[in-house]
Amino acid sequence: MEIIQHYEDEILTIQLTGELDAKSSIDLDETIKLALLQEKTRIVIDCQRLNYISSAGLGVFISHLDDLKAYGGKFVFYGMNGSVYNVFEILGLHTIMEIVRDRFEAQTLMNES
Amino acid sequence: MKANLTTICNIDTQEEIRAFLNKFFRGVEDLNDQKRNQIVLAIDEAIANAIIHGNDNDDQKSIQLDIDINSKRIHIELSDIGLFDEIMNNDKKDKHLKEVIKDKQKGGLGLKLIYSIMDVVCFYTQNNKSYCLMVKLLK
Repeated sequence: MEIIQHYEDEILTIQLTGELDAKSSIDLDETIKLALLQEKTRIVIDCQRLNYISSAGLGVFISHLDDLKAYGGKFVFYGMNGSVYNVFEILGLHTIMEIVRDRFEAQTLMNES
Repeated sequence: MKANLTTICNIDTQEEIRAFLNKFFRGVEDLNDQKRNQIVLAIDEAIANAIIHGNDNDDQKSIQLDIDINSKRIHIELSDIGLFDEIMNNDKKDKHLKEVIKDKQKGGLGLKLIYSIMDVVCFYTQNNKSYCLMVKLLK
């Protein structure tokens, strides 16, 4: 799993490449914790190159959700493939998380808040 | 169709196991891509729980996976999964998602996924070995 970060206009974009599982979710958790410490709370997750997500990956996003909201931030996901989106659907997370099609929609949604 | 593998209890092996499972299940006619992905996910979750919580990621230990498929169902058995709290006190799987978020809970979602995807899920011990049995009906 490769995690690339890009910070611009007060939006942190985290690009995930590969498979997000029990092992790689540890690195993602550290990345998000550090972002929170740096008060980067508007976080866009670029899933275009994300091939797989397990509960450990979902758990990372869930565990930080309320903290982000408390600081006025949020997660916006974009570019999910069908199988990754289906994992969110199985747990009902697609109704709680903000998931859009592309980067433009993600930025628009982030700037609305 | 049958498949089996033995893996050491180390989370580094999971990507390789998923590759094995994807290749094997591509040969099953009655599975579309979505169903195949879901079954691989459920097995991956069960293995992750067994490695991390049941066997403390101890690569001196191993777990065994056996898969048996006929025209009606996929039968999956994991053995030597260890005994771990999430199974013995598996109320986490019944927890509402809003509670999971409120509690900033990272664990427990794997069992939720397993129970959502599989038609039968059973954890049991026999002759000092612990097992996870999962069945997915095909028709």
